Amino acid sequence: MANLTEILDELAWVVSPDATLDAESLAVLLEQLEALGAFPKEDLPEGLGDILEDITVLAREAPNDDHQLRALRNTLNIAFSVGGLVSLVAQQPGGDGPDDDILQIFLGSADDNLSDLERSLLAVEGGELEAIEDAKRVMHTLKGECGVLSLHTAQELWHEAENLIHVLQRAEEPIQVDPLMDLLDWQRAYVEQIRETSRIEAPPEDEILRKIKTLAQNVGNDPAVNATESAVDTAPPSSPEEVGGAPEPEPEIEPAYEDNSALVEFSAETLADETIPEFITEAQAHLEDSEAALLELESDPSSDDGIDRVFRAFHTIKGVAGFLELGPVTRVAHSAETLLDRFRQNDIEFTNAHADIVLESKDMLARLMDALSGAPGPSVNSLDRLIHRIEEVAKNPAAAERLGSRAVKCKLEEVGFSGLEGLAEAAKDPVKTTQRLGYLLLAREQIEQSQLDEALALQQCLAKGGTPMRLGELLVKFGTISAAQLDDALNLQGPSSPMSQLLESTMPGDPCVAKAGPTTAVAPAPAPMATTAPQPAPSAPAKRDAAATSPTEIPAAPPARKTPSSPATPKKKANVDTTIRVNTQRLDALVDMVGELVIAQQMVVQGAAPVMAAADESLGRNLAHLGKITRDLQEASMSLRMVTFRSTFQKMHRLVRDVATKATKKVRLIVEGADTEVDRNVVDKISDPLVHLVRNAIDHGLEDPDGREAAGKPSEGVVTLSARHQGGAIVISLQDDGRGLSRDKILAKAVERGLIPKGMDPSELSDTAVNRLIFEPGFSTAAQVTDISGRGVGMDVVKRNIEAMRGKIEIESREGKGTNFQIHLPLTLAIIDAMVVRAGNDRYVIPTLSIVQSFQPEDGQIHKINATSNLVEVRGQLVPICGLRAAVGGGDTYEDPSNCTLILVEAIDRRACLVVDEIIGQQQVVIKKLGDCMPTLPVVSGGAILGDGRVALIVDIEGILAQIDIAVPA
Amino acid sequence: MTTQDIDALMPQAAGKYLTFNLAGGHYGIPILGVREIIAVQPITPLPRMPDAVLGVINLRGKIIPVVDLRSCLGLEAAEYDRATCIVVLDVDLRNQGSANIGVIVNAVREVTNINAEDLQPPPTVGGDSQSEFIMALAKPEAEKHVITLLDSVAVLEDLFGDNQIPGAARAAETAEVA
Repeated sequence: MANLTEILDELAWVVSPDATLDAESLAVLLEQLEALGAFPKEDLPEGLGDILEDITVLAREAPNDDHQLRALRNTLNIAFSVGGLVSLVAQQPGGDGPDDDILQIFLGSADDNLSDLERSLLAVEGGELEAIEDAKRVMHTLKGECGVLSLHTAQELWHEAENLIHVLQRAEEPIQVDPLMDLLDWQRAYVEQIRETSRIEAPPEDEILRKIKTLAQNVGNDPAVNATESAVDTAPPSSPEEVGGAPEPEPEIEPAYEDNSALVEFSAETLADETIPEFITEAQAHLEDSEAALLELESDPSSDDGIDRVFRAFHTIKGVAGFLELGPVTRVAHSAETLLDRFRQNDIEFTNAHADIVLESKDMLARLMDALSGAPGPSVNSLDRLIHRIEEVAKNPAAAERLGSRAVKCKLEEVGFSGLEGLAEAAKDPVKTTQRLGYLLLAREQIEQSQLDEALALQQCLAKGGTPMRLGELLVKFGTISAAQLDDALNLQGPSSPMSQLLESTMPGDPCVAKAGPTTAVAPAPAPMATTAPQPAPSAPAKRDAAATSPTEIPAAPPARKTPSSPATPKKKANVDTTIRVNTQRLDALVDMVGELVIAQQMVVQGAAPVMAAADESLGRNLAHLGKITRDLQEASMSLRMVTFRSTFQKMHRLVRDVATKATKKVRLIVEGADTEVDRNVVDKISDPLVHLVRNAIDHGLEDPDGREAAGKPSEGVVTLSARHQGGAIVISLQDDGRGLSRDKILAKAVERGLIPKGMDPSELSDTAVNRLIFEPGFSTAAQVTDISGRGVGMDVVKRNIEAMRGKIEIESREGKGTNFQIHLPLTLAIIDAMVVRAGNDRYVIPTLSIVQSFQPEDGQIHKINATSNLVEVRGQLVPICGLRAAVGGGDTYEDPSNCTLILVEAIDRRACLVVDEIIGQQQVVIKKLGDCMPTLPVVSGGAILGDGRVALIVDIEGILAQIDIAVPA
Repeated sequence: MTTQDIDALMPQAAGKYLTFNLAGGHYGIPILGVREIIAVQPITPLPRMPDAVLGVINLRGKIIPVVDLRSCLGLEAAEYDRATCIVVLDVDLRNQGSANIGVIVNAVREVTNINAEDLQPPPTVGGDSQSEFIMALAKPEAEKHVITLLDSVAVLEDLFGDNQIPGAARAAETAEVA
């Protein structure tokens, strides 16, 4: 089904961006497709074949130099072969794999082993040469285990890797970590594959094997050669250029010659990255959000916020994809971002056509995400075309008005072509794949057209009768051809054959098929046959060949990690540890209920107090016991959600390594307190901001090696990431020893952007205020937008995410010395540490994290500005005063602030004093929604149930300060 | 509302109703929408909400809003007494999904079965502006009074229906201007 959708997409693409395919041919095409949709379902297989053939004929009639039509024809050729693919992937081998128990044990230990290895390798790269011994041990273990399990490919690879290290050590050369990392990722993918699908065929290994062997051979040779070799090799093998463009002499000039069957693929090592699933989930959320924003934009094109939202989504995806080395994703996101940036900066109207393009990019990203999770990806061509078009439109926004692929799709639907499902049914029929076999045999004059027709008809009858058979088998059975001839023909169909010659004689005007050649040589290990018919012995080997169909026919099935394995194959997952995964919703419900229990228990104790004096002492004892159990239970339930920062920080190691390479800087990452425990939600949500901060620290914060040496610092920059508990909160700090924030540059940019109110002297702003300017959306002092950063979106993301977690971020920066970002976060998102205060008759809850101090003002500390506004001088700073009740909207204002208690609260960029009547106390409260149907109030972030069972409102300090800002002009 | 509409509506409106008193009048709401009836408890007022929304209460660990039905229907306020209670409704609101909302009533009377023949369409002329909340009027044999059958969903949707409150919308506007 997905394949067919894709083909239609392809069709649409072929038609869309060109000017050469005129309206007439489009009309014919539409007619054909319409007829296809109108076909009765049971006749579809044959009918579909005919019609598709007609389309091919149509395409073939066009002059040869018409690239578009050639590509069209190419696409249609894929349509033929889809039937084969659909049926192939549906079947997985029963497999006579290695001993199941041993395999389970292997799988159980593999993850740990691989993580150990990764750590050792990173250490080696970081200069701890002795760590290589650890790495060698692990590698040896892996090799041995793979050998026991008959995983010969893996065994060989590890052997070669050991060999490489051995050779390097003997030659006393530095250890090359990159190929080993690749191998590591490969093995991860492999392990994952076995776990997910129970398939023990190894993923494609040629690339890695070649790389390792080349390196080993080059040891001792000219180091320059060595270096180039490794430089070439370290390029991600998944890049679309390599997958799709190899056989084409000049792919850039004649894009239509490219083979549409080359799909965007991600290398096994990329797919094996454990952060990928996380990234996919995140990206999908971002994409959904961007789609919503886009749809909003379509109805209201002037909304700036909409563009910003879409922009942020793409930016974040680009950021994470960049360090995961997902080249295609980065490229699409980057170009879409460039396009969107134009709308942010200029007054160009965002039209529906633009929205179409952005939606297409969004769809493309979604398909790439699918590809990441194992489904077949979009074709390289469609990707390139999309990027090309986005770039064109970014240069000239008016160009968007041309027919987009979405529009074409709509048109197809308009004319009544909606037979997608019928098409899918039809595609499952093996007839399509056999047609090519028929051509082959015909071309070799081994059978006559009439014989072929007969056999095809017979095959269809059999299929209807429930015993489908391959064409080849039939022909052999009826003696039309010999088994040897069939083998021959099937071999020709295979990937290594000079099939192009044959096909050229069969279809004279079809050079693109011929050109396709073994482009996608990464076809997975032979997939099994589609038929279920009893198999005559002679054709058994032939069947294997038939299955490993030529890449032209099968849109390169990706290293089938999560390919739709047939439901019949039960998913065997290795039982690796004794932990169980629990749905977080259930966990949340448990934590919530325990919270309630604590409140109920407190209510009982309070209610029992008068009774207790009179009653016997056992009641008191029992209540105390109940209290203890309740507290223990609360602690235990809270700890269920606690995880360490380890995996998040681990991700940063990789990020630092990659960003540093890209920015050609030397960076060392020091991690402290990775074992600090914090609520799972917090860890999930801090990952995005940290990625941005780390990237910024490396790209902007650290100087390049020359600059550092000029400034008298060691050429290697140091970034320190640490986490620690501090008074019921988590503090994550990211410190770099770079150039620090430049006050002058920030101010200059802020003035240019109009962020500083007119009439205000920028030099009067405090350093803190200046530093905070970097959180403004779109604020960047970078002169050039790079792949890594520079658009000024990152810090906006950081600020928003942290605010959403009720946290705060502080910047300390000394020019020339470095910058320190401190993120303060609550330990958990469900419970906050809070101050309960009374204002008037109502109690309110203020999050402790927002409170700086509370105090009773002294005489002269308060300055009256006018009838309603007062300022108070705290630590040399003038801060506006506001009654809490008034701020929340409870009505009356405070009488005389000098008799009340003042609470100094702060958000990221402003402070104020709230007047309260009394501070009741500090306690932990569970945050609750104010009813299911409540509209969000700007100043109240929720409710908390206090010890007496009554509800108190939790004050949203951000919201209140935003209001005061309006009320009291600074 | 046309006569046909009413004819179609009447049989549907028949069924069991929880009847209660409000400012001297007799009212009923479909029993299927009622979750429970609880005693009046201290209500935490919410800022920037319409007057009819009194605030929120703690219903066994869940926070639910409480609505003054009198104010919704344009009736004058009354002091709470011992009979005053909160009827917790389980309603499906447009755009909101299901929600629990409490409404304050003077006194709950009983659960009455109302037959289709006891029903009459609500007055269309001269009625007050709240008549869209009234499903029908009922005068069962056993009763002395006319019972006004309320469309509780319509009442609450009027308050919570579109996720925006006038106050919040205004605040947002002010923020944008600034």
